[in-house]
Amino acid sequence: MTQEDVRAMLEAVGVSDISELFSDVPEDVRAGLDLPGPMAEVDLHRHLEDLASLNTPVGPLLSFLGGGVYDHHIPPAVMEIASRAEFLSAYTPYQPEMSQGMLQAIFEYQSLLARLLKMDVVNASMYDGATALGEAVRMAARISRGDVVHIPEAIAPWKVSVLHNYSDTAGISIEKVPYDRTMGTLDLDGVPEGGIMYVETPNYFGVIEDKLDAIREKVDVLIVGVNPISLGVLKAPGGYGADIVVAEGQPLGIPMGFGGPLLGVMASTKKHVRQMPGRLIAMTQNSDGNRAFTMTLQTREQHIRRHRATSNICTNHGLCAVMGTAYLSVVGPGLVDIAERCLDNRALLEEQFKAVGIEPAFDGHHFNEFTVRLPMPFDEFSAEMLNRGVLPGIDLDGSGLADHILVATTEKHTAADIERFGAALKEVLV
Amino acid sequence: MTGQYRMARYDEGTVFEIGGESHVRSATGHIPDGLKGTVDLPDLTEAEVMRHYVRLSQMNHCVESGFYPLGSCTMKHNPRSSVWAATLPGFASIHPEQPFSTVQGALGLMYELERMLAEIGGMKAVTLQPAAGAQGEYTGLLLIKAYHEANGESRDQVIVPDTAHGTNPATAAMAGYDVIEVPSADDGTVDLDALKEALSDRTAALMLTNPNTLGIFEGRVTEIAKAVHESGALLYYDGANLNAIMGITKPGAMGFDVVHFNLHKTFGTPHGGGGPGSGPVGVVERLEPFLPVPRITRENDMFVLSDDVPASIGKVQSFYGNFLVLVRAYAFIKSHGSSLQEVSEMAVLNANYLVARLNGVLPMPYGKLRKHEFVLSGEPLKEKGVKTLDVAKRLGDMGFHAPTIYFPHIVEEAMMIEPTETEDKATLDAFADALTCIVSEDPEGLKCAPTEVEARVDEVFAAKNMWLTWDLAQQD
Repeated sequence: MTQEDVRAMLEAVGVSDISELFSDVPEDVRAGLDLPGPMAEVDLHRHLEDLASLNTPVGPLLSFLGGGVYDHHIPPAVMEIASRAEFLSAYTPYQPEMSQGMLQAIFEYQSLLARLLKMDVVNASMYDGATALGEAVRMAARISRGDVVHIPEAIAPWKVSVLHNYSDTAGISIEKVPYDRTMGTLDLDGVPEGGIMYVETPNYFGVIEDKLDAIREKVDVLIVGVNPISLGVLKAPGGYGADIVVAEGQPLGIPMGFGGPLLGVMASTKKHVRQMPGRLIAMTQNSDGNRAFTMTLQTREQHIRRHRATSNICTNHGLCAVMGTAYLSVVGPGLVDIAERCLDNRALLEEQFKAVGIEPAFDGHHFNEFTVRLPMPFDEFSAEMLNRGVLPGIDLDGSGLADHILVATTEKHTAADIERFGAALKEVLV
Repeated sequence: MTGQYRMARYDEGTVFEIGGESHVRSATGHIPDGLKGTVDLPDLTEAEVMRHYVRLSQMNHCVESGFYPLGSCTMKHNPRSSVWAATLPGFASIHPEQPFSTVQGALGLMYELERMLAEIGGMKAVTLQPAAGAQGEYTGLLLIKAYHEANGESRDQVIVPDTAHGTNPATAAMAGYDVIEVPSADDGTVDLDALKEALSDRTAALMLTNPNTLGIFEGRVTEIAKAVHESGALLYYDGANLNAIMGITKPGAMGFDVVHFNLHKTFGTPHGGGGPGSGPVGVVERLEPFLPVPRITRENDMFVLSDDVPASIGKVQSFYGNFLVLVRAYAFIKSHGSSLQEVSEMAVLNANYLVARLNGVLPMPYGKLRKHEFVLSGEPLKEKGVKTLDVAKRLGDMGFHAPTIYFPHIVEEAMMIEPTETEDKATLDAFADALTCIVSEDPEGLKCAPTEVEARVDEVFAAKNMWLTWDLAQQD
């Protein structure tokens, strides 16, 4: 904008100075800003690079951290697609005629995830797996008029904290179901007859639940949490009758990004779709009778329904959903190979622990992650491993397992990486 | 200029059609048969995937392709320095459970961003955890609830003006409150008498945005704050409209106790076709003890995350918020620094210039001076049988995204227009010319708009058939 433009605009408005446009702001609420001066782009870039260099990313560090966020390979095509300005800077597709591309991409996200989960309906995304669970529990309570949710004891403590913040305000209480101390799977005797139950597979300790049909039989509303990559080898939750499915979608081509933004996946049966929170995209037709896409069932949403909406969610994680769409399109049936490599690497990783006399803490089946008990305190172990450039896993002290560690792998680890981990283990533990 | 705009339109099939027959596969070993599943995903080459999504992207309007004046959404240009910063491996490839010593840059950035947002909001402390504006609102109300409960009070009502964003009442209801809506006064601002009437010892908070959704500054905000506080309630600032006031005033200076910021609006981070956004929350001192964990603190020159906050409400996200969005907002604020006031000044100038240009084209109820956005009424067009919806669709033909329409509800046939500071005069003039032209166009033509982009999409057909996935569509 040139100075002449500004002058012409002020004249058109009928004021002589920009400050007159703020004449309606009373003096007693005026307040300036105490911030450092603007930074030139060249200085800003250097500053940001310096800050980034104070972090040591995974890559330079050999990482076995997981617990919901994993270092899977991200095909470059995914990042290029998600970097397209048309996806990047658009907003919620309120005007379908101007937004067919984003609408179709999200429709494909819903469709691909529905295929993967073997569920009828997937919404256009939630913020992350934990908030998707919070919303799922509220949805389950609307469906069943229940006011208690049973959750597994083998669950991340941060997920329970988020859940409390979604369930307490709806008057829903949380009961924990213990796990079998040998197998690591859910103790079937603790599963309620009727009511709402949340099950996670693999659970937070990396153990695959193997009695899902029996759990399905017992409860009224079954919510299942999954790792989407594990569905390359494991049975999908629609296959054992889940009513609602939630997932942390980050493994589907989304950077770890220090834990955000992530991708909240939420699926349901068609029967309960009107109780679902969040946006939904539908295939429809235009006035010429040709195929088109649009947001639908908006009367569930806050901008129409206000205080009677199914949720307050407005902005969701659309671009992360585009990443998930692009990821599943690129890998396709190759998801099976990725999941099998995770399985193989986990087996190799277990061997490294066995070589120093440590067996997995639980006898159940595992996917890409398992728990072991350390012969020394976590902090000491972790520091020694870090000295060797290795992030060995997550401390499970907060989950009632002192001196236990959750170790994860992905398809990215090579045999050499895992041997390097084993060598470091030997130095630290033997 | 009518008809010059062309958005790409391909007869682009879905991934299920491009990939041909899908290819059902299952694992070969290592998993017991009872646990084993099958994968049924389309099989595309990378070449097919790239062509497909590039074509889809070309069928989508964005800020780079043209004006995007969605009111209350602040669709400004997203600076590419910010976008670039989030791709640095030192930010993008760190795991949330890494030891603090390996993420000092990330924690330092977040610490500084908290301080900068506290300064902009006039607040004591900030949490960066909420993922979006609506979640910021929810977090804010959880803080307010915790505060009242800590004082032994169980207040069960939240008051919102009738012009409030839809998220305000939805959030209040979700947080377990009864929602009390107060009508606006004749000048479009809060009716102070109606507010005082509604306030009681049951009121937990008043949720307000200032300027309000008509773009009008609530000049009696100090009196509003006084009345709210006298009733023992707290005052919540919906930061959706913060782009209007930076460097002029602050929520803290106006008497607000809790503020949420929309980093994807005010601080130029990309909207991503519907997110991810970021909705940090700032609070005054008396609410600080309740902020979500972990808190970023500094111990011996080292940034650490602390869960040791006894009165905290706990967590609202898996980890620390949408970190890569925080990086972008940090870059935006650093690049403007003490000149942020110019952002607001230009946003307000652009809005008022458009108001002047559109004077006499369509009425603008509730007076003249606006902040960053304004609301026109399409009511006079009704006698020709033309609705605001038709005008919105027709704007698409001319290369403009529609304004926010039918909101706020107190304006009939509303068109809520927010130009932002990053549009130039030529663009504003072109938009004003387009709207001026449209209102005098043939009504029958308008009802058939758009014609230059996708033909009008049938939303009734969508709701009736509920083809929410490819497989559901194939079943019918």
